[in-house]
Amino acid sequence: MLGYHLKLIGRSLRQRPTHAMLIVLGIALGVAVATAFSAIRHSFAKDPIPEKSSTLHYVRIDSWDLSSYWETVPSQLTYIDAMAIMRSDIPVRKSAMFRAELNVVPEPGKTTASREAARLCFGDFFTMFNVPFEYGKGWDRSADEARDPVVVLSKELNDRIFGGSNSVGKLLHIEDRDFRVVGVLARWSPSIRYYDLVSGRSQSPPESMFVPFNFAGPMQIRPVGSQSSWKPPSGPGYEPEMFTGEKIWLQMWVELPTADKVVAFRSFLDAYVIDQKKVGRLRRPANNQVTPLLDWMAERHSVPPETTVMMIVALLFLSVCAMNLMGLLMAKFLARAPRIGVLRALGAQRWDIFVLHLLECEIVALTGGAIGFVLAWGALFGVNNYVKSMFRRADLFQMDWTMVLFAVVASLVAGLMAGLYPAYRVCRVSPSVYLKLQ
Amino acid sequence: MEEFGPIFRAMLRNKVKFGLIVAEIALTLAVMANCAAMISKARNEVNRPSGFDDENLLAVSARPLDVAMRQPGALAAMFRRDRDIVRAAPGVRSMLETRFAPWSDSDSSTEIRVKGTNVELPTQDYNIGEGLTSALGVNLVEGREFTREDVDRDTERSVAVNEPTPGRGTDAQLAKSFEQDVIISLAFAKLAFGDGPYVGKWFDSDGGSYFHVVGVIDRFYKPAHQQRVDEYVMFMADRDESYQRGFRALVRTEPGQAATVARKIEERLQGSEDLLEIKVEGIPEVRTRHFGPQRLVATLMGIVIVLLVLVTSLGVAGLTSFSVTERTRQIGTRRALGATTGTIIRYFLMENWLLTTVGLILGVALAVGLNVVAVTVFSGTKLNVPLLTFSMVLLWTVGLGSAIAPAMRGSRISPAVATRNI
Amino acid sequence: MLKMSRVKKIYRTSLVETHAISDLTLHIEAGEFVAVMGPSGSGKTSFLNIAGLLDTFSEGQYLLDGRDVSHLSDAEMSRIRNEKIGFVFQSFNLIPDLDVFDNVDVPLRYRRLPRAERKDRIERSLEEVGLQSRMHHLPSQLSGGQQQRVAIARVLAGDPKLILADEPTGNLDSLMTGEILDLLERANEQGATIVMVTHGVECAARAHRRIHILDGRVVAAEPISSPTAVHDISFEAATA
Repeated sequence: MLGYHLKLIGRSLRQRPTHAMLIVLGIALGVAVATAFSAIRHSFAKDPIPEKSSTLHYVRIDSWDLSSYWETVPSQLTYIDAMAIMRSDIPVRKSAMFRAELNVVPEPGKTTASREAARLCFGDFFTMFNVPFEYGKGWDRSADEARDPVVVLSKELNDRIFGGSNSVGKLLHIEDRDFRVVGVLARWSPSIRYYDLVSGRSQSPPESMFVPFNFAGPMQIRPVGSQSSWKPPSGPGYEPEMFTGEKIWLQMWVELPTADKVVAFRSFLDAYVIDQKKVGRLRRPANNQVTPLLDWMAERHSVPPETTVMMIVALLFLSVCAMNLMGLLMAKFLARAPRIGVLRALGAQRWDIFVLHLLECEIVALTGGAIGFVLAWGALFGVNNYVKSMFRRADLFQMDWTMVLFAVVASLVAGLMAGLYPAYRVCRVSPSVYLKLQ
Repeated sequence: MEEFGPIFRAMLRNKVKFGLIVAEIALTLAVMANCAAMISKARNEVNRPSGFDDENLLAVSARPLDVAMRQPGALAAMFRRDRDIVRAAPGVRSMLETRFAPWSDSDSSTEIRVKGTNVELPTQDYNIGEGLTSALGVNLVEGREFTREDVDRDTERSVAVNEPTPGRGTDAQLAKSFEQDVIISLAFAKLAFGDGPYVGKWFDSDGGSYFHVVGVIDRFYKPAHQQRVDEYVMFMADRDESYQRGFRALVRTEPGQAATVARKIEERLQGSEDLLEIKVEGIPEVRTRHFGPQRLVATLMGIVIVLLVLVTSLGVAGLTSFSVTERTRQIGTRRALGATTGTIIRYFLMENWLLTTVGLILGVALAVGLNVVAVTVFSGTKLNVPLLTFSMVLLWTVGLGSAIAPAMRGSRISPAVATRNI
Repeated sequence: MLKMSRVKKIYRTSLVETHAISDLTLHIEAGEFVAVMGPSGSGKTSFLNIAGLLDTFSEGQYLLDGRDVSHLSDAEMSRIRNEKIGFVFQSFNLIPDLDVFDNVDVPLRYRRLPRAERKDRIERSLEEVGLQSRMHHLPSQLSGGQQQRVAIARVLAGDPKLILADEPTGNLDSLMTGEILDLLERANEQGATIVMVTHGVECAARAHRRIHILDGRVVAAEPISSPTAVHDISFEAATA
């Protein structure tokens, strides 16, 4: 029976091809806009690391001064506090980190020197965030402790300096010393740089290179993110300003895989803060925050409200397209009424007619949806191009399987919305009306 | 129109068919009006003036790529060279050494207290060299600008505080407290001190430093991301010569010469003996980038509006066409009864007019409803009445236009159709 | 009233030339009640279309009420149809979305008569056909006979000089047929010329004169018997 239905549908679609094409295009347009705008929002809203997002926590301590202004708990830590947290064994993995810009001087004469965005972090960073590697791997804790001059390069930087080859083991001159390449990343392009929602635009791409945190002091590396202090340094130079003062400039991530660990870590933090208060620091009321990744993203408003509004607008547009489709289908189906009358007179059930037409409608909708998805992909490509210079990347908005599912569901729902009433109307056609012999 | 009553009554007997297009028009208007409001808001933001001569301003940045430049002596020499190069470029009207640039993504602000009070006042704060008023095009309402001597002296002190050099030692006293001359904006002066005169007044901060007002400028720029600091600013004389940040300056060119001057500066800096990462950007470009998200939203909303109008117009054309086809016999009969081709056209256009009008009225209600939700739940933009009216007129015209072709087709149906028997 | 001379109607397609009317010459006097008869395909409908200005003709001359209608504009033709002619169709041709009142109103509105006059005419004509109680019913709520009576009311309300009826009882039973013919006769008594296309014997009998059409031409026509007849009719014998 299904095969017979499909054959009938095929025949009817082929009969008036321009009409069928208009109908399909109408839905395609609606699905395209809905999918593209939803993809834009989804790029920001989705869980960037679903397999671990519940275990990764961002740590904040309020180290600010009582009399100075700060709306809530400051979003970064002082060096003192960050290092104290690094000493805790409770988190399975942990890393303090910050973003900097460092001079890279490849072989003189070969490629030119440049300033590259760099992240200073501990070796745990790579395993914590499941960073994908193409060659080699990150460094381990002993390398951190020994202050091993190692570096991990992004794919883009490796392409530029080493032509994309396996550069593990090679030396790269950064600032005033050589670093040894131990790993090269595969393409890593999260839409939101979720491990750092504080420095600059969170839609920027990940850094070009990763260097062990402990080089910050010896190389006197300063962050390029935000840095603030409520009191001036006790003395001149790097260390009083960055290490022993109250400047907040570090981000702190810990991995706490179980609820027990979270509880234990919070106790550790509370105890630490109480201790520090005894020494005269951390004068504000304790406000320790151990925030899971998704909550942190929400707190930082990583989904711009405009994208949500745009998605709603797109869904409304899809509704308008569905209404259009309903009108076209009404016309098409009712024009067939005489033939339907004959079919019914010959014994076809109302249900058969209803299903037949609904099926035809959904097939049209799915075809339109497929075209729409392709259009959406193209549109996303165009949008990415448009924003290329703003965020310095060409892959800000991305499609994934969720969006494919979205396109399918959107098409089916639109088709249903559009086809339900016309199919119902046409199956109610009474055979006698059209069998009158004149 | 001669047939309003019957047309209306006939339409009421076909509620579903016509109701659909009425709903479609209503929804289209609602979405259009809200999108238009969003576009208008985005464009207003994008077109907000900075108050400066943006068209002729360049942001120049030259960062040393040679780690040898970390040595203060070498660094200072590099800065001198860069300064000379930029200032000497033809077409440069004035230059201000500062990291400030209007519309850039990085800004600097702080809290400061009027001396003797406890209230923390928010303000933007920037270190600058000499040449403030000519580079920004602002005027002094009181006091004076920083002179080269001011800048040299305070820069040296700042370097001494931040970068201890061998042989120089660290002057703990120096680090702990000093008096610093500042220039503030009139708005900030009013906030801090009420009425003038302002020159000679004091601010203080923790740690014992004092800030002494020596000049007041008439206006400043309001950054987009931070509302608290409004147009408040405090400038300190300090060329901010750091290895990290490199040479940064705001260059004002002779009118219309921004592009050529930018090129010249870039060329000359490339030619300098120092290894530098050079970036020269016109402020309009910085601004375009800064407002990227708003421009994207405006563009996308614009596309949606165009598509909406297109789809709805196709819907109206389709409905009218179907209406004509469905009523072929009726049209023939009417013609037989004495309707002219014009009468038939007017019939369908009147039907269309009724639909569109009802749809638009409903659409206004829907637009307002949608907008209330947008404003309360998504902190969206309120509806703009002129834009709403314009959208209505546009949709009304498009609706009418879409119906004309099918209506004309209907008018061409021959009266002989009436005598045809099925 | 209605005078056609050598009227031809030719349909041309790229392949075939069809002579719907090959040569039509006839004369109908004002006040007559004429039945035009012929088998299917004889050109009756085409004759009616031309007579009622529903369609144009290719050659010949047609004088309607003394006026040459060959080169009239659409607006002029529509006006004549509206004011001078009334149609009764085989399938009634009532407008389904309008009630009885509005249906009868249609040609009156085209005449731009004031509201009160229209109302008056409609009520009187519905009374004449006996349907004033159904003034606000829809056509779908009426029987075939009632629908045709409404159509006749539509005609009568306009007070036309010429009434063209196309198989007016073709879709009705014998009782209804009688009633409809009664109405037509009454209209004729009040001065309207009636040309009725039919192939029903009863209808033809009620007419005062019969004209026969075959293959697009008049093959036989009874003489005009009314006292106001001006001259004899002429006819053409069927020739190959």
